Amino acid sequence: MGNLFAKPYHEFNIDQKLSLQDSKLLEKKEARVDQVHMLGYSKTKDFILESSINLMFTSNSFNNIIKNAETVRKNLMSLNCFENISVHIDVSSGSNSTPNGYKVTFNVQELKLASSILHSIARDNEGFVKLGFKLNNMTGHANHFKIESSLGNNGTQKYDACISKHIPGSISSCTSGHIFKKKSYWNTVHGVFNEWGTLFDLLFLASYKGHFSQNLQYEGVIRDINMLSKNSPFKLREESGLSVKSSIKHITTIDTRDSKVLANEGAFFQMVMEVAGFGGDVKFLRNYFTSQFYSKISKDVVFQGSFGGGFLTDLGTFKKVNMMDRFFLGGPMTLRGFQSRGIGNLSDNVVAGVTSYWVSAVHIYVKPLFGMESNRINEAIRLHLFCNAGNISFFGKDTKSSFTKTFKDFRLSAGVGIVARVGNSIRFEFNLCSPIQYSPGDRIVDGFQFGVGANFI
Amino acid sequence: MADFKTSSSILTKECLRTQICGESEWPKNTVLYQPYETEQILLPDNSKCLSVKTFLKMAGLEFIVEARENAEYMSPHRGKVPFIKAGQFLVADFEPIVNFAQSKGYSLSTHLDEAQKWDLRVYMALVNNVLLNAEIYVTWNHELTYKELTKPRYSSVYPFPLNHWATYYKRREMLSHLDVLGWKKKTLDEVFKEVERICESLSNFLADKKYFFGEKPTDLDALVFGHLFSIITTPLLNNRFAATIRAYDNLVQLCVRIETEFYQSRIL
Repeated sequence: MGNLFAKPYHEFNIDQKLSLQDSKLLEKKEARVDQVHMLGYSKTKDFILESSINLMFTSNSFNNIIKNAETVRKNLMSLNCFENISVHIDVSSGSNSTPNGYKVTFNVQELKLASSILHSIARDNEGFVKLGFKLNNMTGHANHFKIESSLGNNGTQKYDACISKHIPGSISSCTSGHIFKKKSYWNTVHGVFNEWGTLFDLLFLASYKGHFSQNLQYEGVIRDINMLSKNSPFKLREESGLSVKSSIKHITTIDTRDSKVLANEGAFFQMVMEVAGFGGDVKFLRNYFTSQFYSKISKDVVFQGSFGGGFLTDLGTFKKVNMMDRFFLGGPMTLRGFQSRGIGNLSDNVVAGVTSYWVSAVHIYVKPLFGMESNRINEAIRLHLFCNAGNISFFGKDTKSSFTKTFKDFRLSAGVGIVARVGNSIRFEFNLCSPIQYSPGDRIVDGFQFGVGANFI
Repeated sequence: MADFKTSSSILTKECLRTQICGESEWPKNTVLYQPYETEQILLPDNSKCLSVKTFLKMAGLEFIVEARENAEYMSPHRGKVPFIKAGQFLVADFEPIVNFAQSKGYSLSTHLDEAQKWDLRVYMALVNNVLLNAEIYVTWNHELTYKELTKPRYSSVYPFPLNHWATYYKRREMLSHLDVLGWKKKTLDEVFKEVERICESLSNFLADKKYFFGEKPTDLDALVFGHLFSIITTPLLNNRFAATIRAYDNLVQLCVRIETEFYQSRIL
């Protein structure tokens, strides 16, 4: 079953320069889309598709048609209703056709109603296996339901149930609701963190340029900190117990990288603002951002510069923010050469976690098969030289002095290593690190360090 | 063999620990952590806290009391209050604290002979098994008390929705504890009968002595005082629990004696 979307022909003053046969000039040739066909769908409602397809009718050159067709294909795929989509572009013929009109056909294949989930992801230096099932496109309005559990190799468990729905429009948006239960560990201090929570997410995506998106989230979560060993620092033990965080989060992402893991060109910027204190017992304002910039020096050499930072303001009077809210620095994907959460003294009198931090990195990537044409190895593996710098601080009353202190005795490390890409979002790193500048109490790694994750600096 | 090795290494560690404990004096700045007394604490926890405080006072050990709303979660043995932080050591619950003090050379039962030491252990086990469980029963399993007193007090430190959540889980834990010990299915009358029986045997054992073992107070006196004093002074829905104990005059007199001697105040 198919459907036909046609644009009535009402512009008659089109320039008649059709005699150019050169295919290069064909790209610049005036063109319009007369008809768009959608074939192969039965369940999905028309109005879900219309808003995406309307873009096709704005094309004014052949080149433009091809570009738009790709954008539309991507937008349709992002509805998560289709298994695959193929595009055919042909000269339109028939009674309604115009002299330089084209006919675009989208051949789609819908996903089955129920399908299983089995894949792996990586986050925060831990690999996860995801198992679960999902119901696709339940009523034809691009609404989905899924239940999944993820198990990590460090013992983190996460259970998640999610309902999501796409709202068609010129800015496409997606709402989703999650219920989750998460258990994670901090082995150095024998800590276990349990979380039970709900998350409502509203995602806005500028549909024409897929690289600008905004998320508005509400998160309500009950946290439980449990220190298992008598040897855990007492300051951390004092924070153990139950607390509720109820927060609104806003995430802005600009991503023009050509790959999420091993990019050649582009920039990435993500900023998160979080305000907690709508109910619950912790109140804070937390901002943090990450930025990455890539530039191709030569065919085989890529330069990456990154900078990130965060700032937390405690707004609470009775109950203070605890270690699950504060920042930690260090780890094989952020400040290399230090253990995960390895920066800062953990002796008895120091509070764990900090209220502000900054971290930066400079990478020079080299393709392993130097000088060869792009092949699989060059796409998946890179050698890199890196240099990391960063510091943590508590902002006191005297902002100026603490600000200079933050940038004075910073931590510095450098090294070489191999970076590998698995799938589209997992990054493996195996580095030989050497911490150059550090403070007493830091847990350093002087030698080989292995990291896996999706977020990196 | 491997098992033996690990267990022996654990033993060595424990020996080392006790040795280190034994070497030094009672640490200065020892802090006792407990829940907030007026708004939060419940009868069973209150009894245990009072027992420990009384013991430490009897042994002449210095300590500071600090109230924390999350004392129960801070405890090295989750859910057990009170606990003490003595130097680098964290010790929770009455008996481990008594043992810890003993390893430092402070004991209230050194003057007892072997038979008396057995008596002491038996009565302490009896108090822990009966009085403590009766307190837990009244606090968590008696529907009316739970609704009127336990729930508002326990959830007072938590915001919504944690107040329901935390209380629900705590209650489930305490009920399964009672279930394992076979107390859950008892009726209130049966529970009070048990309390009556132990009071009678304690009363007989005390007779008209000053303390259970003569002129000097022991661990048992601290434990019994903690429980009886809390039961008598804690306002419950009806005074049946307190009345059961008040019927034994020499036990009440023991409480009065300990209170005036170690707390320099008079409530009873």
